[in-house]
Amino acid sequence: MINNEIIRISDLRFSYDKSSKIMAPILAIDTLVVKTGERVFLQGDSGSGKTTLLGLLTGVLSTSSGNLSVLGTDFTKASNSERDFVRGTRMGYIFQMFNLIPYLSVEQNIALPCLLHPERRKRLGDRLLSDEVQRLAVALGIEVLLGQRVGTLSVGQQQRVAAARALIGRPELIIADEPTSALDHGHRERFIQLLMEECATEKISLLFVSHDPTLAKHFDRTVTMTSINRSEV
Amino acid sequence: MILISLALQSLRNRALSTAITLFSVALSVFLILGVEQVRRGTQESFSNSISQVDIVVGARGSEIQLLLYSIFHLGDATNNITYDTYEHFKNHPSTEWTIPISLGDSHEGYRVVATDHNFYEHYRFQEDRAVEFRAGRAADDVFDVVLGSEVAKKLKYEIGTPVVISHGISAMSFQKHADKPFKIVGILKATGTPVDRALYITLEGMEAIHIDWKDGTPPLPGQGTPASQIKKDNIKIGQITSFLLRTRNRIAILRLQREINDFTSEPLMSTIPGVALSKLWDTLSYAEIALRMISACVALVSLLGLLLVLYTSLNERRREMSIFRALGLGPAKLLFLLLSESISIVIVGALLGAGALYAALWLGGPWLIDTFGLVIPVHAPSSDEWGYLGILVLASFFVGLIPAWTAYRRSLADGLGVRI
Repeated sequence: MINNEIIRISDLRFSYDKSSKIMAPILAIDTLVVKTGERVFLQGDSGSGKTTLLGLLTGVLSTSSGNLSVLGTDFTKASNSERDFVRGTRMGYIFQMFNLIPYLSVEQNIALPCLLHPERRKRLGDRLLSDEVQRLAVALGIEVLLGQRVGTLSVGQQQRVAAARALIGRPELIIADEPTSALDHGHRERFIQLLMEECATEKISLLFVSHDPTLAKHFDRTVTMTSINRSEV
Repeated sequence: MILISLALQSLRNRALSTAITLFSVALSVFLILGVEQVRRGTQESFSNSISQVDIVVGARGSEIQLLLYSIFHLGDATNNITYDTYEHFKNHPSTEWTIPISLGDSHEGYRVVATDHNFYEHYRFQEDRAVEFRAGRAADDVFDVVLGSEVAKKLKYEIGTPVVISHGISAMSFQKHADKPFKIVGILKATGTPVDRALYITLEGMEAIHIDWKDGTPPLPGQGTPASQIKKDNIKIGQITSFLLRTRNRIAILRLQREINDFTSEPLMSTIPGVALSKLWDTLSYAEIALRMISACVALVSLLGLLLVLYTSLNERRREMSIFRALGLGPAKLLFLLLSESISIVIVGALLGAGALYAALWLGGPWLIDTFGLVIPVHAPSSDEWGYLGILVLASFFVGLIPAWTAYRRSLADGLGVRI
């Protein structure tokens, strides 16, 4: 990674309709850089292109226009499976809600990334997977829920389980897509605090996306979609 | 392995729809294998019931009918043949031995077969196995009776037990030869053939219980000849139902068969057991085809049910697919995950169906013997049956491909941004 940059975007253009050359792209970003260990708050209203940007950063969407480097991998040149591999082994992702696999227990949900990717499990070193699940559960205050089915959890508990799943296997980058929008004020503050603590402990970079500007105070810096997306759509 | 484990847990999470689909798959496999097992078992059972008999001879009628009543104790004879005719062919230069058979009476639903010593001496089944006695000896005297193993077992009879024979072959016959009871002198060992389900008396015994009968009507009470006055030497056998014949030389079979069929003294018919059995299987092949078509239809319905269950669950599982995508699972692995579900259902359903079939054959074997006289040997699936199962699993792959492909396309479109 160049200069400890975990994300580097330059001259990125993206449109869902690739056949139309005259149509304006819905995402047009000249520059965006996130450094290793940085905790960035990405703020934007609905329809500002946040979800599309996250699709590109996670490698679910692909583009060949401009430069997009994530965790040292050039996503404009990487194959689908290479991008899937980077996402599965080196990233954590937290959804807004409905984050968990309904037929797995809390413990199985947390362990899932390491079960799906042996490379991610190797990042634990000598630590047992079950021990790491337990450690994260204690850190996030959900250790009593480990044996439960996810359907019995409150939304706040589900988000903490989702955070534990994103954190397991020491990913280098966590992307959180409005993870607090379904939480009340008290739970929201507590959730962000826990997430910050874990990211700091494990030296994980964080890109936190939300439309709520009041959350910005928790982060190293704030980037607004309006400031980086020059698309006219 | 983790993907297969996830597929199984996902199926368990949808227990009811999974159970219904499993049941329909198991039912189709039960039917497909069941038809084959019963077909193969029936043919084997019939083929094993008689060996070394070259020709079966009886009154003119149907070859299949002649074989069925003479060997398998199924159905009735249309007519009898005279004992003189029997003796003619018994003493024919081409004949090595004969076994006379006289039918028409029963005991507790089991057929009574009148025959002579040749039966005990020459009758063979399963290639070269002769009938053997578990206890006692062959029927020799007029009122001697020998029991097949199952008759003795089911009726709990022992040597010396008196047996009253009923007139006719119905299990509910009201006319009994009560004035002339028989005495059990022998019990045969089990053979796994219709021999086990019959009682064997002498030809003279069959004549004796019908002495004084006129036009199928018994004498008035007290007017019949008492059993004590009937002596074997005084009995003249008038007719029998059919006889089994072994030639001295196999080359003579066709010539002798022609001679029997052209016999001028009375209308006769002869059949080679193997030929008659082939005709029987040809006749039954229509039923087999119908059963196979029904099985195929059930399999088709079960696969459509599988498709329906997987397809209808796709929409509610879009969020789940997005989570898997976020966890780094590529669309191809999602395809594999969903295919694993459909193939798992079919494999587990097939195992359940096959298990249920073998359990049914094992548990229902005695009932099949009692009701239809069929001994269905339980065999491991044949290559054909494995082929049917393979086709079913392959079909489930293609059926599973439809929802899996849809999920794949949706996951590409949804990415991580699905909102439900």
